[in-house]
Amino acid sequence: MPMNELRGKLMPLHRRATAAPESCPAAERLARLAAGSVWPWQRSRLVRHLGECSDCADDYRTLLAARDGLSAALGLDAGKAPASLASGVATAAALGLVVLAAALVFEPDGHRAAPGFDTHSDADTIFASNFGLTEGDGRPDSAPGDVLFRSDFDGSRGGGS
Amino acid sequence: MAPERLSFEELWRRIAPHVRAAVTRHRSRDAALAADDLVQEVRIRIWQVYERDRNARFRASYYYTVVNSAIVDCLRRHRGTLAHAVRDEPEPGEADDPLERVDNPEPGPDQRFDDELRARRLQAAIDALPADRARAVSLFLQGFTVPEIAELMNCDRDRAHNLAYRGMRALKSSMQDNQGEE
Repeated sequence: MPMNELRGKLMPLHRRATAAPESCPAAERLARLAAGSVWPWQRSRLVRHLGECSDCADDYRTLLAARDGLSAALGLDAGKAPASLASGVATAAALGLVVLAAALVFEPDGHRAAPGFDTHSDADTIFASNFGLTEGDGRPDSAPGDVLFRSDFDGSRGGGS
Repeated sequence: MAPERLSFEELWRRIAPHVRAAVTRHRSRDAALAADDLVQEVRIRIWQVYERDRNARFRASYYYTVVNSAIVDCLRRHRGTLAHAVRDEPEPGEADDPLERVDNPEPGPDQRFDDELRARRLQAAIDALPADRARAVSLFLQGFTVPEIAELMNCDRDRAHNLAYRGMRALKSSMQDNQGEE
């Protein structure tokens, strides 16, 4: 049986069985999903609901049909997350990094590692992973004493799949 | 400097055709939805937001969400109204006497029971699929296209296609196995 025929046969069954579930997400949630401005965990829940609710699936497809035209009319790029959300994430991440760095740099002198816990021998190194920079990595200035952050990915760029 | 604010008429002139196209598309599926009423309702919602936005603080993306949200709200409300109307009023030409409804094409209890059974079997078969495939198949059976599924599942089209089609094939064999067992 061709796929479209099978789909045509099962679709009414599935849609009837998934009509009128107990609760649907707020209209605004679907609107935000169409705008690409929901958080990943919200997206996952909403997408699951769309598969389980034929009414919301219809409503969402209506929004998709209008999306390109509406976006153009309002001067937006279709399907792109609004800048406010994207920049909010970046700002929060940067802020978190700065706070973490400050907390580590201004650590009280009295603090010492508990006996038995290994510490880095480089006095000025705050973070250095096991996959850190190696000699000949193109950054001659990165002497161990000057390293503040050394990411797990710095030493092997381009090696990932 | 604050951006120049569009007049409401200009804003509505830009978005109205798209709102109308959206609700008309929905209406074609369900002739009882009054497109004009829906468009008017959406217009009122946008107007209320526009009135609150006297300092032009709201971004275009906010208006975009408001328009979409208003469309969904209106569709839901009309769907509810329609459901009541269909339940309360007999179809045109429909007899009130149940004995005269012998030729009614509505499925009888046996047919409904069979449909329910098949629907349950279908749902069980979907639930038995790996999570990604189950999700892709559910969306596919709700009428979403492969590119739409790809966007919803945040993956590329090839993967969405594979998930949906492999899931459908698994569904087919599972349903056939179940039929064979009976």
